[in-house]
Amino acid sequence: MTPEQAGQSYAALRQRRDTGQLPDAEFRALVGQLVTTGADGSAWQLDADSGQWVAARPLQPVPVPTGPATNKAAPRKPWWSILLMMVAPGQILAQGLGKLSWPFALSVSGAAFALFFFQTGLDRTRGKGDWSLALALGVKGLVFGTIGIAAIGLVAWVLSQLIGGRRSPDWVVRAIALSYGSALVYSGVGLVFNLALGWNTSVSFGITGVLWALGPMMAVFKDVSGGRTYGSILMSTICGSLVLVAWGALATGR
Amino acid sequence: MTQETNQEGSIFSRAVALFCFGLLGALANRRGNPAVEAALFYGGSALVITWIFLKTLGCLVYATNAPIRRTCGWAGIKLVLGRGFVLIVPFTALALIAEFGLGWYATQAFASAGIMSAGAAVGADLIRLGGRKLPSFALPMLAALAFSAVWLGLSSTLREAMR
Repeated sequence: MTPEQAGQSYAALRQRRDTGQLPDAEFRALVGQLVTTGADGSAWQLDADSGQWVAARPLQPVPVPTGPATNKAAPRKPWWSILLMMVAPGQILAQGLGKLSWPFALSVSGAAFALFFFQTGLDRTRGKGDWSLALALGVKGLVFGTIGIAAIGLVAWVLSQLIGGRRSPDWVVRAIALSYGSALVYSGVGLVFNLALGWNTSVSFGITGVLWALGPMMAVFKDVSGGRTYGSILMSTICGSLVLVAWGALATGR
Repeated sequence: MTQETNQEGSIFSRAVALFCFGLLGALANRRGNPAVEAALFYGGSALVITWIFLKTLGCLVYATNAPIRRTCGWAGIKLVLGRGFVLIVPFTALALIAEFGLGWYATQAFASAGIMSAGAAVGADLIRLGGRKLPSFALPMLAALAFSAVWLGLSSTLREAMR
């Protein structure tokens, strides 16, 4: 099979999968069979997620997207991945989250929740001139955004195993933590309005950012569950609820 | 067989999305008028405007996106809309938790965020299916923004009307 023929077959299969005419598992199995041989005799196959050529693995037709071949396509600037995760999470996930490390991903969610909780404290003590509650909540937010989100990521990974999950715990934690990039952007902007104009921003900016994260999170779970829409919705609901209840308990005392 | 299953899945997704929007409509005005009749009226109104919105968006995508029209047809567009707008489910669940579990009155924030996320998901899906990038992404996002504004405006208008 020539690379052109394989590329055409991949495009046709992908379209059938995307329009729901072909189950995802069958799509991956068929893509795994699209193997071509290079001039030096090496075998190549198409990555089912990214459509890029990767070295063929005879006993493993579906390549793991976190492999070194797919990492090459990762964004060079890690900060760019935060914005990309907000608007086009599928692209970041197709690149296997690239070279983004778990400390970077958790620092995104940690900073997001630190700012979000800090603003909650500012809102609660407005006019009193006491910053101690806001600072304490900021620290709580940092702990929740790192340890708490990592724990929620692990819960999500365990749940994903029940619906045929195909990702490692490290991948799931990194992806979920990075989903909160939107919360970081919203909380950053909210803090400016909070400090400069004295607005109460924890709900209008903070909650909105956290809710926006549900979109990327659903893309993460869809990837994890091999394209199952309802499974991803259920998992997003569980993880979103955990975050919401935790914020209510830790930052607002409800 | 597969097409029949897809069609059923598409209908089910849109029905779930419509139900959730109905629920959000009823929830958004619950504190203004907690009577059951009022909840049914708000929920029914939300359901109708959502149905009109989904039909309109589907027609706009069909009219403006030739590659999608050719490859997916009307049935494919309905499938994409169902798949995108069923994402309102977690937002509805979270709105219910916020309202009844945490005692917050913030249903509209959940509805708006859900509508925008669903619009973005529809746009991403259309691009993945080979639609032209700008109309595929911009149209659902702009439509979602407009629907979100209509949702908020109509919600307060109906609340005043029912007083």
